[in-house]
Amino acid sequence: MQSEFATALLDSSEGVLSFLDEPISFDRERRFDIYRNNVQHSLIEALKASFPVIRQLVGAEAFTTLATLFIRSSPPNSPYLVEYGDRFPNFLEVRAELSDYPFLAEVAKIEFQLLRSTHAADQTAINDQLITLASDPDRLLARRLRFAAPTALMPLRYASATLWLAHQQSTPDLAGIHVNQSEWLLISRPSFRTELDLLELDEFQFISQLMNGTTIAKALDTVDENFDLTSCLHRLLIRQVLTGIEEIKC
Amino acid sequence: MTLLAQQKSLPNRAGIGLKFRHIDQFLQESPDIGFVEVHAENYMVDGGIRLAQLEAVRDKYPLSIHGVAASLGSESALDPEHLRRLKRLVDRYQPQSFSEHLAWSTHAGVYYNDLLPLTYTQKRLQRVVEHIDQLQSHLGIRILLENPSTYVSFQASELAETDFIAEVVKRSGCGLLLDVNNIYVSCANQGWNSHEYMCALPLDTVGEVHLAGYTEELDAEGERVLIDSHSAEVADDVWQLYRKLLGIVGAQPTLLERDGALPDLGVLLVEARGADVLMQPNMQTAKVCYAV
Repeated sequence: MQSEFATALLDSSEGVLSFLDEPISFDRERRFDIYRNNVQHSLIEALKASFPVIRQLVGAEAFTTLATLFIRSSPPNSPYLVEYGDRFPNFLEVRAELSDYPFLAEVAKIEFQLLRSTHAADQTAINDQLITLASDPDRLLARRLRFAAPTALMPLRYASATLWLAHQQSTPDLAGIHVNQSEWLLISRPSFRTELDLLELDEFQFISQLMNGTTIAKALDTVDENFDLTSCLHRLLIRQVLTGIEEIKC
Repeated sequence: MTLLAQQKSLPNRAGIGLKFRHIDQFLQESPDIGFVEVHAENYMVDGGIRLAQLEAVRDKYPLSIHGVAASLGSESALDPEHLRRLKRLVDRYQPQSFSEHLAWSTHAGVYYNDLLPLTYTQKRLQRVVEHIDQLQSHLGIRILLENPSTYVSFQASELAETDFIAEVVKRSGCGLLLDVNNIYVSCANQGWNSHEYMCALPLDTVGEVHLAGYTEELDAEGERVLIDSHSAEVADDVWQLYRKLLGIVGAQPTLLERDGALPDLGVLLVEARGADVLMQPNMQTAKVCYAV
């Protein structure tokens, strides 16, 4: 019985109505619709809360249509609704009617990562320790760095981070944004607020190597000699992303 | 039945459901309120601001954690991951009360984010009791079970809703979270008498009361259906039913729920004061239930 009821919540109510008593007001179908509306409405609200910039970009009406289709094809698998929507970027990417807006999927990925970073585990940054080590660069070079759970790097094919940032203003100023410009994004969560930093490619590659567990020395091998290590370490300190330093046992 | 730890209880005062939008202001102003209730699932995250805020709230106020997704009415087994997350939350925040619903929300790995209705059969009764047993022994506390608001009923049901609830409470040893608005909504939608319905429940096991607002829809014939929307003020009829309840069971921890069309925090606090006022003459009362 629950199986038929559940199926009908997202699809046709054929079959389920015969299980229900005749109600004293409305008919069985409209009574059942109350549950169907609750489910649809509450999940659309959850997606609205998680993807506010996508909603601004496509408009409220189109967002509701897209969300309704998405909910039908990918309903949540758990009650933790801040974790719902990881497949929404991919859903947007393959919609034919959105093919002229290929950056939408990336913006959605940014929004979902921001949600993840917001709710990721709290960890204490090890800034003091790093300053001590930085005073002895040779020792530092042999170290591996551990990153806080909210930290994420995202290579972007489009200017999606700039688009996202523009939509944090009440009247987004989109003039001067070159959508086809690639971007290199660092997301972090110093204190309780997430931060977005647009990086140069070399800094992105360097941090990316570190996040993969490479030593500072080996990560430096991947960037050219003009790379500004001090500036990068400064950023990592300010953004509170380093939680540990590991010595490599030879 | 498992032997459960003697539980701390909420004060016999009004409390409010704490929403994200109000939480900064709430912590800043520290209003005089009996207790605070939050939805468990909103705090099942690894870290970040939500947990820090709940910690701060917990330091100042008695806390009720209200689960909406355990799916105690499911045909299938309870989700072990959900039990694990509930345990972590309850252990960390040590709430004065933990409550859940007589409903199901998960089926075949899909979560429907609504409180869905049960068929009231002996088989389902047994299953619900097993689920509550499992949840209570996992958490190590006695839970409160909330009566549902319903829009449909099933031909297959063998028991009246009130008999089903009474039997679940008796067999599992859980307490009752009496949602007065749910009683009013269900009775209006099903054509039952709300006072009789209320008195048929095991009122001596009530550990908390919920009050909320409903919305009303009319069909072509002008017949109404009530929706448990939590998006309006508590209706006069619901306040009346609440007064009857207080006359029977005395003052109870009473939560004002509001989820939709959220007003300013001050409006919710005034509504809670309204419940405090009604409780005053009933501080010592505990009478028998008279049928209408």
